[in-house]
Amino acid sequence: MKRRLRGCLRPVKMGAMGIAIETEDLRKRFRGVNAVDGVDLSVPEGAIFGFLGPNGAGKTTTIRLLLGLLNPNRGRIAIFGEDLRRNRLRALKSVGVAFETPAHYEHLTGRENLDITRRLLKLDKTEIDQVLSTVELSHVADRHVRKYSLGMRHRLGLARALLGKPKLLIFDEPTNGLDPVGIREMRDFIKTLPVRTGATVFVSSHHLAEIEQMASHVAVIHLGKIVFQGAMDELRGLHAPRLEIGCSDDASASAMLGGGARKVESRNGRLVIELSSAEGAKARAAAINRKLNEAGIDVHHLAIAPWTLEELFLQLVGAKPQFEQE
Amino acid sequence: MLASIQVELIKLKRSKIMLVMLAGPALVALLFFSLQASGANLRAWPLYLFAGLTAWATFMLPLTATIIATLLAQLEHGPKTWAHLLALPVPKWRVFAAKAVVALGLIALMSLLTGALLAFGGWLAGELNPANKLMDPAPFAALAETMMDDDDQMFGGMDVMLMVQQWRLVVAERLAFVYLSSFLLIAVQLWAAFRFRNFLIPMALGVGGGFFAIFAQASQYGLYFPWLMPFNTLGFMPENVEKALAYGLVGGIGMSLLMLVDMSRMQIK
Repeated sequence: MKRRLRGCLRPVKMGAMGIAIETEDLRKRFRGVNAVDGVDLSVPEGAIFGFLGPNGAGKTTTIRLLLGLLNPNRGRIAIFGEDLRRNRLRALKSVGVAFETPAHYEHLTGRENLDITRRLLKLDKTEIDQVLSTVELSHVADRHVRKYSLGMRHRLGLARALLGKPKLLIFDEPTNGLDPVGIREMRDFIKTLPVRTGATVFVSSHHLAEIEQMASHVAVIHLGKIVFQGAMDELRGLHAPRLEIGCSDDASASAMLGGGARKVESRNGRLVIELSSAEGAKARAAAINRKLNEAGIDVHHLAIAPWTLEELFLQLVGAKPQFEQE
Repeated sequence: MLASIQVELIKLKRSKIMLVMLAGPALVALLFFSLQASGANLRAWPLYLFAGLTAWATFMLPLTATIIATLLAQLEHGPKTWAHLLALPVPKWRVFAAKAVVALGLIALMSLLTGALLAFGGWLAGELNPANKLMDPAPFAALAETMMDDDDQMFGGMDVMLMVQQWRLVVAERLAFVYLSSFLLIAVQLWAAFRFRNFLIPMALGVGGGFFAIFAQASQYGLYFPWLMPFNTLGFMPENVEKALAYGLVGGIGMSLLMLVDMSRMQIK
């Protein structure tokens, strides 16, 4: 397992073309504890890159290192090939960011909040209306932010990140605190960004389903270390699918199908067989169905079940999936 | 830099800072207007204005500088906007320098307002009751000169005749000295306000500094105490006035530079 995971870590030579973010052996210590420990990230241009990890895994610390808000104890960061330490201003010119908790000047209007960033970035006034329209906040632009709902504050944060049309958008837990409708809206919005703006999106989250639904690439961080990095399909391909069987006689079926290297387990009233690979899974399912029918065992459920991201994630961070704990 | 300063001014919209700006000078002016109008006649304009400036330099300036520095920092600490500001492609020092420039500008305006409101209060007291009218000593300068011998014309190193003849200039000059010598205490207050998220820390520093300044007046080291420097520029000894001005102004510029270097290295967790 570990060998397969290590194979997925592909440190890229700093300054490589087509890479939005590269980090090399990044480390940050707080009071003797490595919050980020030897992180090598390689975020391809144009991707929606999910940065997944449980709370306290080092996601926010990594993001703050990427933005120059924290100084690493070791390692290097490049944004579109610009070394962050040497050329912070040039590197950050292509970055827009929205933090976990949307922070705005509450006594000012949405428009005034955006005007602050616009002036500092020396942008044209028309940009404010453009980004307000993009996040659908034009109708409340002149309302004080203290009267905004949490969802509106999040969208204002996104609008601020979009000012200056950055090539890289970094979102730290963008759905934090939102209701299910808000989460879906935010997810749908982020999914469209690479097409609408041409930007690369780096989005951190501890919500697996969220990342699964919007990311093209993913890195999983746990205890400050990257435990997986690659395309979403590569992550899913780490484990071959399983065959779930519901039948009239579990004991006989289990005895018939087990044996040799094949492992048959009973979980939640069903038999689960780990397949050796995804190839030929359908043919094998049909063969097993036939074999059980011929033995007089009725099959009422037969499904090829890929590993869910949650199961993969729990495997990667070393926790047991819920069904195994039971 | 201009954009950074403009941005700081936008943030002050609808904030309490304008109230502080008006309240500080108004309270000093009101106190001395009340004294003058209630019959505690200070008689001459220079005496009245110097008394008002002393109250400004000793209590109100350090206190309002503390509040302004704290408010400017809390604008970012409160909503946690430091991370956003410092992640922009703008030099970090510029963010803090713009706030320092705005603080100095606001306190300069407050100093002018203090002078103007003090003068208005003195004039109003005289208008309400002619018995409390303050005297312009300048027309009596020639008479005063004939009544004083050479020794009398210098009082504790201060040129009394200059005070009589050109009192407006002297008061304006001392008002400027009070302001310029407060740079060090403003820089210290800003640094503390930026560094600590808890507003009680810079507030305690400012109030504590002002409190200890009362005792430091009697100490030989009082000249080096930042919260006492504005007061010391109102003294009679030209040498001490110059020292207080130099320590406050040059020290303030030096302290501001150190603050900018330190704050630019600040890490946002």
